[in-house]
Amino acid sequence: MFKKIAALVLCVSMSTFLFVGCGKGNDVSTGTENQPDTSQETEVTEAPESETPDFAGQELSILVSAGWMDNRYDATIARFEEEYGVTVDLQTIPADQYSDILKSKLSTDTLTDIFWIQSDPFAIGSQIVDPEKYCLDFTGAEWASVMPTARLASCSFNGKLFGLQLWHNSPEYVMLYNKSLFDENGWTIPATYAEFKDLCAKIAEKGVTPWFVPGADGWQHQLSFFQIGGVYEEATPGLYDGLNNNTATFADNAKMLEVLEQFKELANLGYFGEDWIGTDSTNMANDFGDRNIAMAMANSSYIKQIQEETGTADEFGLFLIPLGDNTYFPTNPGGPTMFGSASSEHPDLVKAFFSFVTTTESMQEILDNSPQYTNMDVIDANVQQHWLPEEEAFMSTIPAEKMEIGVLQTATKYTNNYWMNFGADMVSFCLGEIEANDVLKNMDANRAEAAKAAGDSAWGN
Amino acid sequence: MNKKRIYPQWFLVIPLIAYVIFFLIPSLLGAFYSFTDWSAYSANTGVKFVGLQNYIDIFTSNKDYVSGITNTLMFTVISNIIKLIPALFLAILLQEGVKGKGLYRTLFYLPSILPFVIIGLVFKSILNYNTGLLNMALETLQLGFLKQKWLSDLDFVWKSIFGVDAWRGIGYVMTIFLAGLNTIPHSYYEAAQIDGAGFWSRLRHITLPMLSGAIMINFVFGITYGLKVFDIIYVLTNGGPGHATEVITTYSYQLYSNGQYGMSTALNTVLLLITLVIGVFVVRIMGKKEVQQ
Amino acid sequence: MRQLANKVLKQLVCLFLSIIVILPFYMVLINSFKSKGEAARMKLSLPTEWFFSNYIEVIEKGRLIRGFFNSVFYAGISTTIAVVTCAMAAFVICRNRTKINNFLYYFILCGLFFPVNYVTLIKVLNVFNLTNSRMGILIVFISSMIPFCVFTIRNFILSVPVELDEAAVIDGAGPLKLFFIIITPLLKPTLVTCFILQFMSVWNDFLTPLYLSSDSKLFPMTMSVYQFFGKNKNYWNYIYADIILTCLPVIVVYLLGQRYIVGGLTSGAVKE
Repeated sequence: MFKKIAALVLCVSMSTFLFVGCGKGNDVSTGTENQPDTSQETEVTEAPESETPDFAGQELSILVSAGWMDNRYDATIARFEEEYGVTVDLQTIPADQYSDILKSKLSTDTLTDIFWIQSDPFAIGSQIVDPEKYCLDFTGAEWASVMPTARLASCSFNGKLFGLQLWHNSPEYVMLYNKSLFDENGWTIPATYAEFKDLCAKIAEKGVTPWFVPGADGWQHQLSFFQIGGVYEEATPGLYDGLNNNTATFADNAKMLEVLEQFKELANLGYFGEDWIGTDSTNMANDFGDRNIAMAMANSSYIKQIQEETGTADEFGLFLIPLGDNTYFPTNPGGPTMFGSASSEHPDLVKAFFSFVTTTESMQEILDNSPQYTNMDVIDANVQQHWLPEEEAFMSTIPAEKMEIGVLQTATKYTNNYWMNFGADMVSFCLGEIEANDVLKNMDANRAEAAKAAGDSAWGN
Repeated sequence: MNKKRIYPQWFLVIPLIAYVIFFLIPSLLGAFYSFTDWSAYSANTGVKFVGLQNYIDIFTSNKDYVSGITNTLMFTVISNIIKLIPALFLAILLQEGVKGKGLYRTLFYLPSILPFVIIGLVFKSILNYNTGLLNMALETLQLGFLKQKWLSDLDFVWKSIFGVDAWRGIGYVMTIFLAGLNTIPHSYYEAAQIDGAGFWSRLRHITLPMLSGAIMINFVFGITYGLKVFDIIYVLTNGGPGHATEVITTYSYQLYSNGQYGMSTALNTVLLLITLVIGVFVVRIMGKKEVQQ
Repeated sequence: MRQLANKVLKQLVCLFLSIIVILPFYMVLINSFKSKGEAARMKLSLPTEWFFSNYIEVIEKGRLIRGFFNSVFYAGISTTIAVVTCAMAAFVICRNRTKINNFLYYFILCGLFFPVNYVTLIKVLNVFNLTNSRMGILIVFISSMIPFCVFTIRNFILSVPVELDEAAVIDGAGPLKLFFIIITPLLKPTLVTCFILQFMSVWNDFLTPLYLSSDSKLFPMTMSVYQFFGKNKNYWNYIYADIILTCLPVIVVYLLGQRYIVGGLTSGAVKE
């Protein structure tokens, strides 16, 4: 008897288990109310008498990588919540997990209302794959006019507009140097690789690490190879098109080999520090502040960060990465980009959000709340930019024609997908495990695999 | 005694259903994809059956997946030796009575509580060549010649990983040994003492046989942990420097991140097969011992 | 004399190991009170200025309280259910060794070796309409720990004498009474050990909830540390403070549970 009752109880509890689960799957908002809600957020549950009451009580979910998001959207999101009587669920995902999470959510139809990708002219095709199926079509949206033409390319696919990219236009990953230290020692900015090598020797003599390269991060050191894409295109005109049509390869490219050899030469001379492969960027700002290092690849806004965090009185400046005698600015018309999900239950709310963040007021607010960025690359004369004098000085030295060629990783197809692999191969090369040309060959092989998976006809698929 | 009545089969129902539906089926479905060209681009092109192509690619690719497999096996063997033996002696040492036993037991266990991300952060800092605690300590002890590039020298990177892994894992293994030691009646040792048995003799004739359950658990967990190892390598070296510390899972993770799901699951399936073979082998051997007693 | 030297040596070994174990924890703790820049240096020295406010900032910005209750919910409930049901299953498998049961044991054991595939897992959950819900996350956690629990508990049941069962049955106990009143108390050390180990692994697993939910209300506490990570803007002081807060509950659970393991409840009954 006892046994039967127990069995019954177990079976019933098991089925309620599943049953309750189903109920929750259908209606998430009621499901979560069973849980004692001690969170500190103040949820707007009562419908305010706003002008647009149709959205009241809805929830807008946003999926974004922690690498692209700090608090800069908080104030704008709060205003949006208040104006429409909705709640916004901003989910910041660990940067190294983000693209995997996004892929799994895309392939299982469990997307949030809004999601972000790191976009470039090829990224929509390779990351979202089928934007018509997954993304809201924003073609003809009013806010399209705030985006510069160069950025529209990484927000559109087959002539349709899908994404919104509000990003800065500061110099990214150029050489940042301690200007005060340079001035005191009479060092000057190098224009060629030979000058750069001499400079490093002088700096190293002073007991300072000339070029801080945080190899342990795994994603930084290869920037020195890719950010100077212009020199490869200059050495072999038509290289980019060739790489995209599978008529050119990385392997046996003389200029690329030259740059890799130069990188290794500097590494072997100890100019990256005694253990650059084992050092990450955790302490980079302090190292600049303590004058342990003289140069590093960084964004211009990093100057502000060094000064704020370390309180150093030193001044800093920028110059172009001189590997391969580079004279090209790393133009990269890509950046984190917002997309609306086609499976969203409230597409109008998504559209309202896109319109809301592109008002002058919102864009100004977002820019002002981004200590990392000094400007926003939008067509709106009313937005007050905060360019640093160092940035303006640097940009003014670069002729316009040197800004026209994009960086290698985003101007060629499939290349960016293998960013980390290439970095690891570069380290193997510096350790003498493989040859420079092997690094390039691996990139070709990887790109061919990606092209095969994508069914790219240029690769004979 | 009616075994069916006092050990009713329905005791098994809940775990079995949950296990099959929410664990086994998803995993097997995953393995099924290893025979397809499933990728991030499949939304456009559809998933096609490709037979054993992915497996052939693994062993013929220009990427050194095979070294990933050997590294995995090497890690499994060495990391377990490094953890199991000291943990056993540590457990015995604590069990035999040291002042503050409870405190030590708690302390030694603590590292396995820390999330891997944190272990990565802390130890990358400790092992840093210029500013790291380890090299600085060596210098203050006048042992500067022992300084190493712990995470970037090809000769030392595996040793560093083993060290950190042992730091994290010994307490866990020790806890399982302790739980086992607790079930050995004290009278056994008293009797042995009277017979004049020394430490090694007691270890061989009482402790080890009586611990076979705990040893088997540690073996099985240690082996599955070793073969599936990912986090500790991911946070310390991410397979580097270069590709020196790549294991099956780090390669599989890269493939997954690059959207080559079919290949990624194929690599996982290879790992599964290796684990199954070794696992069944270990369980069989232990099972026989059990019967013998 | 020799015994004393032995004792001192043992004590020294333990002390030395303790220092090695504690040092990284100390680094995290002491750096959690520093400013952002100072914390990035990861030094052992005391902070030049104590920032106790780091903790308050972290609790607010990381939404730690909500995350805490989610984590307690996932880890507490899933581990309890899994340990109890697996103990029942392991008991039957161990005591009634029919062909089917032996097969089932190895069948479940295979699970120890299987890798998780989140994409197919989500597809299966979709069938039952369990994606994006607490219940779905809970069931997945329970399912994933079944092989571990069945395996561990079965091994310990081997050491519980069968005579106990016989005696209880003669006294007129049914299977449930036998299991819960007679056997469970004897299994307490292994049940508690199982509970602690699994509680910890659920507590530290942020990937499962991350893949299975599209709602940050369902995120566990361990996710919060990532609010302070990002390229070139890592708030190390907050990261360390967050780690301390996230680890505390697990340490508490371990300390509480340890008492039972030490108590060694089996020894009395098993000895006879």
